[in-house]
Amino acid sequence: MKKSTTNSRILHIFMMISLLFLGLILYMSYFELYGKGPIMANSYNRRLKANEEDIIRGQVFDRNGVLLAATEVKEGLSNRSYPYKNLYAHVIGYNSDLYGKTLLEAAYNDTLLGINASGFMGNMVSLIKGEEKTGNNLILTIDHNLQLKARELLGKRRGSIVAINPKTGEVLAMVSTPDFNPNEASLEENWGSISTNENSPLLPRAVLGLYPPGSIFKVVSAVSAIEEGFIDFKIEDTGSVVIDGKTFSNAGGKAYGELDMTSAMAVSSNVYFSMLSEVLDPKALLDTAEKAGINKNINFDIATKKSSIESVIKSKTEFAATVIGQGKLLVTPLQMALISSGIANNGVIMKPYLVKSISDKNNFILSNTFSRKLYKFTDSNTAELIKEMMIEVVKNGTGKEAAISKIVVAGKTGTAQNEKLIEGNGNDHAWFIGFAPADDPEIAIAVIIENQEQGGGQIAAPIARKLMSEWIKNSEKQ
Amino acid sequence: MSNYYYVQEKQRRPIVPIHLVALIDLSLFALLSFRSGELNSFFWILGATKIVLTYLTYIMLKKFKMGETYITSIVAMILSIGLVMQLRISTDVGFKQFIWYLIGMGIFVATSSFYHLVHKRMRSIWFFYALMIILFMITQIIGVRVNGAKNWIVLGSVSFQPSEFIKILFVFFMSSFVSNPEALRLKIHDKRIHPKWTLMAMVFVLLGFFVLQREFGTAMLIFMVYLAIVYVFEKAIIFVAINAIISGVGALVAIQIMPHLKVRVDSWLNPFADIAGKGYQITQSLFAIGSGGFFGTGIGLGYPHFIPNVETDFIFSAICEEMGIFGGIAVIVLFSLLIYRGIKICLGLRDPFTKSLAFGLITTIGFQTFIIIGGVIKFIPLTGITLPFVSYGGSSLISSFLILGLLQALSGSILREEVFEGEKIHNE
Repeated sequence: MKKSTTNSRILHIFMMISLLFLGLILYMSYFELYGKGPIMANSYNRRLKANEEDIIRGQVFDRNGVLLAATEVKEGLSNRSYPYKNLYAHVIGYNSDLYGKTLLEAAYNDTLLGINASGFMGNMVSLIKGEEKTGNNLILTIDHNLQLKARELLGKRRGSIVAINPKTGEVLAMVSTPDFNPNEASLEENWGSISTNENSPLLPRAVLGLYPPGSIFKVVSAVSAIEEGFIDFKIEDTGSVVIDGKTFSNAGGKAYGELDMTSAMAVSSNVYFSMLSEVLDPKALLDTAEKAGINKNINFDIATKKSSIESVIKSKTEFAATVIGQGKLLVTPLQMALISSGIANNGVIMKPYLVKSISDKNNFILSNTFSRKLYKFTDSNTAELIKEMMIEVVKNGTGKEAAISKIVVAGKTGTAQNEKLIEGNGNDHAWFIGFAPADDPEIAIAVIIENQEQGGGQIAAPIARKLMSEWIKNSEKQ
Repeated sequence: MSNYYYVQEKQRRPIVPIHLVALIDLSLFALLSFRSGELNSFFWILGATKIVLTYLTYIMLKKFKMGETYITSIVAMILSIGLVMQLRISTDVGFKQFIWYLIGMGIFVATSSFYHLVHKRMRSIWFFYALMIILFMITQIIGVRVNGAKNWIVLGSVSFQPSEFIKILFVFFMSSFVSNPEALRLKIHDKRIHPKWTLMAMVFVLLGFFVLQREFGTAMLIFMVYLAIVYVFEKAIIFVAINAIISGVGALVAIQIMPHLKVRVDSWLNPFADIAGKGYQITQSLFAIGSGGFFGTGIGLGYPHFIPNVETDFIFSAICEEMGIFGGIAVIVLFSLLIYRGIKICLGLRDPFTKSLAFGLITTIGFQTFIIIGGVIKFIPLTGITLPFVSYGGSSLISSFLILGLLQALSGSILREEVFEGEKIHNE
């Protein structure tokens, strides 16, 4: 036998086996770096649940350290408790063995269990000391008192309030009603009724509720008109106008006479804005709306629905309806609060956020969320002009009910027809967006109350006033 | 001659690996005992036994000049990981595995010491073929079906898996062919048929048996060993290609007509389509590997028992979960070293039978490692087969030690001198 050729062939096979082994190593590394990402959260991965049994879930606090959610361990059984029951059902959500996790409990699951990198060292120390593993805590941007006040103001009505610090994007209060008690025992007892209730108490309206905006959308229309150079657009308001065969009239058919943009905004003239639609370019309005985040997903701590505007306007009447906020438009309360905060913050919308910081079990801060710009809605000059108009709304217009003594408030009321939402219930939604103090805004707000006999000026504006003055009063005290 | 060989070895390489094994054993078994308070002394005794045995083996090999000393050290290191993992998953199963390890060591010592006495008689191609067929027949008649494959023989309280031994018999069968192909030269109608065609027919019959028993992993293994030996010793590339094509077409047809095989391919291509059923095992394995990351959760801190058959087919996934991808890579590297040393033994041998035997045994270990690791990480379709020296099971461990013993014997000086009749050793 010729040894040399045999040996070189043996080496071929050795090289082949080495290549096969290299393939294994490369494939494993690839799986680790890229392949495993999408699959690890699969519900068949029992480790997720097992981790939970071994780790005490972290707590949730408001911005001032009020405890909002905690895990109690009794006789080896852990139970998630929410001391304020319904109040944070649409912010923190729930963490239930039977019904899963929602909202912040779901989005921050890894943090609360401390199974991401930031909690690693802390757990190593616990492990060596033989202590039980504890997850990390969330410190929210929510102010408990403001949240409480907002919930109280909504009362038994259906609706939502979102309050934001326009300079930072911190969400100060976020309430949706009806709500439910997220404690496990209560969920178990009432699941049947809350999951089938026609008023959808499980729906976090602030982020997932889509409503027609009505007249509050005139703020966006006005921004677009100013950017397009129509700041001096004036009309004679006779109470109604016919556009392409369709009549647009003011609420109650009132005729306001000569109107410029400021006075038209103050009285919320449908005639003015539908006539404005005849000179405005639909593409410009679409562009402005998209710059405010409509038609886009908001990058937020919890899932949100996309607000939408029709991108192809088919007729003049359809466009006129859109300009006055009655067209094919749907917005979430969060989206409107962001628009309001954008005007308050010189045209820049800050990224909204709910989690201010993350701390370990010894309340040592592990990370802070930094404020950052989300959208450039408009330039600061336009924002300033719109702000003046919104101040006029509260001073002399439809939003008088939002006025706070000694403080300048900017706002816009809206009364949205809701035929799209609930069949056979003809009542309209009352809207208010605004901010205060107008010269140095501390709070921007969106309020919606569903199916009201009266409009935004009567129903939503007073709620906004009470909430904003509560915030400003308290921040003055500090 | 042989004295010179060992002096050389001692001067050039200090005996570090063996101490390394002891050090790793010490830390791993210490870790086990710290983790489970009351069983303290139990783990210390096991650890001490393993260390003592590792040193004794080494001393034995040196003292009686039984050949090279690396393959046993490498295997000792692989065993450390395997035994500790088994003990961590279940003290009960781990202890049984430890007993099998002790028996396996006995088999190793016996084989490496006495194999040379029978070496010259181990080359009857028909004998080995008949033995394999008989083992198949027995398995078919009195076999027990475990996890879809009818591949266990149960006699009273003793059960064993014939395929673990058939793969060794197959290497002897192939080596017999290499040393004397003429035994297979047939004459049909005055036409002489080249022996390799006869061989091919015999091997395909064997493959058919394995496929019928649904032992796809072993079928793949012996086929790869067959091709490797034919490639090296027959030097017939076209013949190898014909074999590969026929088996490729055969595999495609088998996948279409055999539902059990189709299921395996489907659950390889998309295990998430039926995650609750056919894809369950492999996805659980992937979750385990993924949860370990590069550095692992740490021994005792993962959830390897979530994987079905974790102590046998999926032991590698458990290693990756608790020791990380780097732990898994370490195991692969250890097997690479083992194969490197095995190939080295093989390169130094001259007699075709002996050379083919060493080559077949070491490639068996190599391909088997690739098939099972590739399967559990979803690199290739999963086929139930064990990871040598690591997976739980008496049959698997004993056959692995048998292979190790044979390789040791083939590297040994007595056998070398006998075979080469005083010829110079070309080892390095």
